[in-house]
Amino acid sequence: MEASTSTAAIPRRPAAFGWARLPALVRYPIVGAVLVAAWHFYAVRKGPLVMATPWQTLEAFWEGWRNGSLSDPTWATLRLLVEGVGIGAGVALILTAFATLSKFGEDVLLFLTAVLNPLPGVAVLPIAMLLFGLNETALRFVIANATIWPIAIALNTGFTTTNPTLVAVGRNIGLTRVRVISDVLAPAALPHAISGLKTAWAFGWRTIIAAELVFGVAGSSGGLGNYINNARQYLLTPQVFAALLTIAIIGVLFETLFGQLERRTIIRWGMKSS
Amino acid sequence: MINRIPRRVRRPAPGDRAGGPLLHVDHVRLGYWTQPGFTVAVEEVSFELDEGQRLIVIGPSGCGKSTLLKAVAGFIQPIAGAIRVSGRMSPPPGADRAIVFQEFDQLFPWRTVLGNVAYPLRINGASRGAAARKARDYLELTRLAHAADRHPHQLSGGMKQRVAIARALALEPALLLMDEPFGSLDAITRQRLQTELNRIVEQTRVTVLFVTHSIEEALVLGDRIVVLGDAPSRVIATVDVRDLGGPETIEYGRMRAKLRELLAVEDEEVEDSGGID
Repeated sequence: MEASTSTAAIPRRPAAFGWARLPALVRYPIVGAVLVAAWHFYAVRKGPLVMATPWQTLEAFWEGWRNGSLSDPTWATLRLLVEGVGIGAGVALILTAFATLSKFGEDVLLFLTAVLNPLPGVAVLPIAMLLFGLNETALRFVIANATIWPIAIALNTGFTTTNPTLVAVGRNIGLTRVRVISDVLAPAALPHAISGLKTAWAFGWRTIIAAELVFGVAGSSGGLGNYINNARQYLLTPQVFAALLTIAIIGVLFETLFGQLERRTIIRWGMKSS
Repeated sequence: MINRIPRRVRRPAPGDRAGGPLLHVDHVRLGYWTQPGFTVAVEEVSFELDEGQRLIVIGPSGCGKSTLLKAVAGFIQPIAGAIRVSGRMSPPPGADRAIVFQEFDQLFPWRTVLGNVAYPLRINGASRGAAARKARDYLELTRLAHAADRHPHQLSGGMKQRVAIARALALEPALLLMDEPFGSLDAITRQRLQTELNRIVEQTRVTVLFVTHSIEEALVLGDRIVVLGDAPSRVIATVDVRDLGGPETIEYGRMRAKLRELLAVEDEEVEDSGGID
């Protein structure tokens, strides 16, 4: 008691430069400025063919989004990604529901996830190309495959760890087995579902860029990976960097989106601490 | 037919029934599968529960009283014997036998207090408006109207149990099943909720089957007490405690002593779930 009181009374040693005491709004821009400066000087030393300077990157980014040469591939990639993750999430939900309703379904799910989840997403690209040809369907297939398994694993964990009392309440108030899944298990598994979706989105994002890089020129409109590959071939280094910047920004945006989703649902409901 | 009795009638005395008991547990034997094999929890138990009565099933921990309640709720089928609810043989789980569990986490965390009470009504065919209105009425009854828009994680344990009671009562069940609903509460809250429950049951005239291991709780809440022995359990006594009077009366003291003897509770053993003394 005595000891813990005295420990609590000792204030943290103030940082030498007071860095930790600066507000985040000051700290992050400083970090950013230092890194951008380092980038700039390194790029100047390396020469414009290998490294674009921050300014050149921004110019290419601005230009690309203004005339559509960068924004069109970005939208194409995002559309494919959303479609692929959508298909993946749907299949995952069906598989998990099936696994909840029957032992056989559970065995099928466990077997499939054990075999297919460790497979890197791009690895099935050759098969997809053989199956569907050089088109968007092949890409959708690859993304769906990359997202089904993390989502299914997360959903299944969420379903199986749902408090049995809640399920009993659901059946007690007269829910059918299917309604128990949609009205009790699904919302109860939401914390797992969201983290599964996060993982799936990250997998899908990496997979589609990689797949597009491998694909080269294909389909009606190339995606971001395609754009990078083209820019590299023509030594348009600023464009390569502008595409990377786009990818980074989209990543941050999605993080924020998921954060919002969590705050509005599971954090508000006390199912996850903020 | 007997189900149509309007509320606010006199609680019927035992044997004062027209169409048979509301609940008939008839030589029931129950068990469940565990790791080593099949465990018989309830050897053979029989009792009847009439409409408007409050029946307490009491017994030592692990005597199978919760298993018995689950069987009445329709979650488990008896190995032998029969459970009849309003004449129906072992009906599947349904809102006519709404349950209040011991666990605080029996509320849906993603619904508000009002939503938790209204949602089962929606499932059972009420319109959105009617469900909300009725839910408000029952939250009023359990004195929770002020918390209607909160989420369960913002409530204390006692409030959560009151929401669960409101949710069960709003379904206007033929039989209210309670599985040690106050078992996880501190002594003061438990005592308050017992008093509260008595008031609510008086007001709604609901038929109650209540499982507990607390003698005090059984005496405070019950009309009749069925005492179970150790697992695999049988009924070792059935006592009528309706006209017992308050805890200060001699009869109450005698009954408590008798129950303690039946349950082999050491005289001064601290019965943590006690209420009144």
